[in-house]
Amino acid sequence: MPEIKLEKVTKTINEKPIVQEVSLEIPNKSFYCILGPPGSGKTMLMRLIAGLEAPDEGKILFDEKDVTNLGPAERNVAIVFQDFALYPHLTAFDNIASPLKVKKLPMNEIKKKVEEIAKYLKIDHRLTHFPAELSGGELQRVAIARALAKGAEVILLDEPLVRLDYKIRENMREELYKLQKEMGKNIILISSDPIDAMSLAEKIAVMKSGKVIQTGTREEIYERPANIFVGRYFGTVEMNILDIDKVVSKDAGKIIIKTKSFEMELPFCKKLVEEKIKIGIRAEHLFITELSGPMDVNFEAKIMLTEVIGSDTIIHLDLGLNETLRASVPIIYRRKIGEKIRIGFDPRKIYIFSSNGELLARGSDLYD
Amino acid sequence: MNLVRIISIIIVIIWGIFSISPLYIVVISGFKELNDVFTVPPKLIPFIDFQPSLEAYYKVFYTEIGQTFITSLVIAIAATVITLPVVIFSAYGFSRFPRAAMNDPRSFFILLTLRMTPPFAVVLPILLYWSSLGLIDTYPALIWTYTVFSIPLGVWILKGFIDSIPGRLEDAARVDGYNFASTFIKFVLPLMASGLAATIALVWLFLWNEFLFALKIAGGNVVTYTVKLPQLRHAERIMWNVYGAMGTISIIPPMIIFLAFRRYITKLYLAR
Repeated sequence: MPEIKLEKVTKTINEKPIVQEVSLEIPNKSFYCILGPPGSGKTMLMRLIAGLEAPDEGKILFDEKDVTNLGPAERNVAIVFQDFALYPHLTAFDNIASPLKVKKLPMNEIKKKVEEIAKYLKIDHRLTHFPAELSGGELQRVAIARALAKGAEVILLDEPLVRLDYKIRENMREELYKLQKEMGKNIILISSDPIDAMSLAEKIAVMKSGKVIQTGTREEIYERPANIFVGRYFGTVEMNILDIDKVVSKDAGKIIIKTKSFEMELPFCKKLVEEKIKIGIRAEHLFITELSGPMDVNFEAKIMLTEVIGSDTIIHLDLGLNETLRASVPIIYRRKIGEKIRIGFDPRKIYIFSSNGELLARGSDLYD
Repeated sequence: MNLVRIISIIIVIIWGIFSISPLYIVVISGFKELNDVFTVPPKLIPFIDFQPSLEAYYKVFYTEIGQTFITSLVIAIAATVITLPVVIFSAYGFSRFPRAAMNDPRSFFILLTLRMTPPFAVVLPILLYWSSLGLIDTYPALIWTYTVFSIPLGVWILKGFIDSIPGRLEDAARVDGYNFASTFIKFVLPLMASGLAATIALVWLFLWNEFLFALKIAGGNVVTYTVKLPQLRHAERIMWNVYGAMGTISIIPPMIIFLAFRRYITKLYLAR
C-alpha cells in the first residue's frame, strides 16, 4: 500500500529543466491530482513516478523504499495514457491481458481475471474487438481495465478525460470516483482541467514551469491560492484581478482602497499600506444588487456581453477606464449590451496579492 | 461525359501505350525465333504474325545464361538478409533515441549521403579495396558492397515507418512489465511489419536491378543477369530473343515480392 514521496526531484532535458526540485507526498489510497497548464512538467512528473524516466537528481520513495532507479516493471504502478496507448494489433481482451501475460499466469486464470474486470467496467461484450473498432469511451475503459489488470496499487491517469466528449466525460468522472472508492487504489490524476481536479481530487498539487507551486485540498487551494496564477487557474471562471491605484489610510482603523473606477473600505492593515497591491475577486463572488440586495461594496458597470452556460450566466462588465470584470451568476440573466447595472460584493471574499503576485491575505482576515 | 474527362482518358490511353508496349515487345520477342525479331514491319501478334517458339527459353535454361539468375537471386537475397537486422536496429535508434549522444542529426545526414553519392563516383576506390583484399570477383565482395549501399536506403525508409508508431505504446508495454527485448519483439516488430515489408521490397528491388557494381566488382566468375544481358551475342548478332526471354524472367521475382507484400502495403495506405 504505497505512500509516494518525492524528494527534490529534478529532470533536465537538453539543458532545459522540465521538473525542478519537486517534493511531494502523496498519501496512501487517495485521489490525488497533479494540476498544471500544458508545458508545466506534469506529464514528466508522471513519467518519473512511473519509472519511465529516471530523475537527474532527487529521490522517489514508495512506502519509504527507494525506487528511484527501478524501472516501471518493478514499481507498483499502472498508467492510463492520454491517447490510451492501446496495442492496435491486439484485441481488447489481449490488451487487458497484456500485464497478466507477462507474469506468465495460466491461461484460464488470465481469462477469468480479464472477464471479471471487463464486466466491472461494462465492456465484457466488446472483448473480441480491435481498438480501431471501439468508441472513445470504450477505449478509455479498455485502457483503465489494462491498468487494473496489472494489479498495481498506484494508477496514474494522464489527462484521462480530454479525449472524450462532454457527456461521456461527466459519466467517466463519476466512474473514476467510484472506482477509487471501491477498489481502494491510489489514483493520481494528471490534468490541465481545474474542473477535473475540483470534482475528483482530495488533494491537489498545482504545477507551473516545472515547479510545484501549491499543494492542498481543493478547499484550501480555492480559499487561499498561493498566488495570482493559482487563483486565476483554479476556478471555473477566471478570477478577476484589479490593480490598486491608491491605498488611503483613514482614521478609526479603516483604509480606503481605490481601483481605477471604484473604491472600497477595509479594516486597517499595515501590510496594505506599505506594499503595492492587487486584488482578486472571483466571478462567482460578484452579485447583481437588484437581485441580491445592496452589498458592502457597490458600483455601477456596463454590460459588454452575457454568456449563458447551462443555468449560469457569465456577465462581462466594463467599469470604464479600461477596467473589466467577469461575474458569474447562478441564473439565466439576459440584458442588452451597453445597459448599466449595479454590481456588489462582500469585501471579506476578496483576495489581496502583493505586486509580485503572492497572496498576502483574504479580505476576511482583516476583519478579525 | 465532359471534355476534361475525355481528354484525361485519351492521355491515360497514350500513357498506357507508351508504358506497356515496350514490355509487350520484350515479352513476345522472347517467344520468337531470332530471324522473326528483325522483320520490318514487326510481327506483333503471336500465332498470326509468327509461330511462338521456346528456343530462347531453352537457351536460357540449358546454358550458363540461366545460372546468372541464380547468382543474382543469391546475392540479392543474401545482401537483403544481412542488411535487415542492421536496418531495423539503426532505424529504431534514429527514431527513438533522438537525445542519445551518438544520434546527432549529422550522423543521419552522413548515412544518407552514402545513398546520394552516385555509384560511379566511388566504384573505383571500392574496386581497389576489394582487389587489395584479393576478393575481387567473389560473392562476399559483391554481397558486402550491396549491404553497405542498401543500409542507408533501408534506414531511411524504415525510420519513417517507426516514427509513425506512437512511442506511448512502448511506454505502455514497459509499464505492463515487459522488458526492452520483449517490448521490441511483441509490440514494435508487429507494428512495423508493413513498413518492414515495404523496406524489404524496395531494398531487394534495388539490388536485383543493380548493374554497375556487379559489372566492376564482379563480372568474371560471378556474373549477375544484369551483367549478362548486354553480352548476349552470337556471331556478331545480338540475340534479341534471348534478351526478351531474360527480360521476361527478370520481371517475375519482383512481381512475386510485390504480390506477396501487397497486403501489407495496401494495409499501410488504409491505416493512414
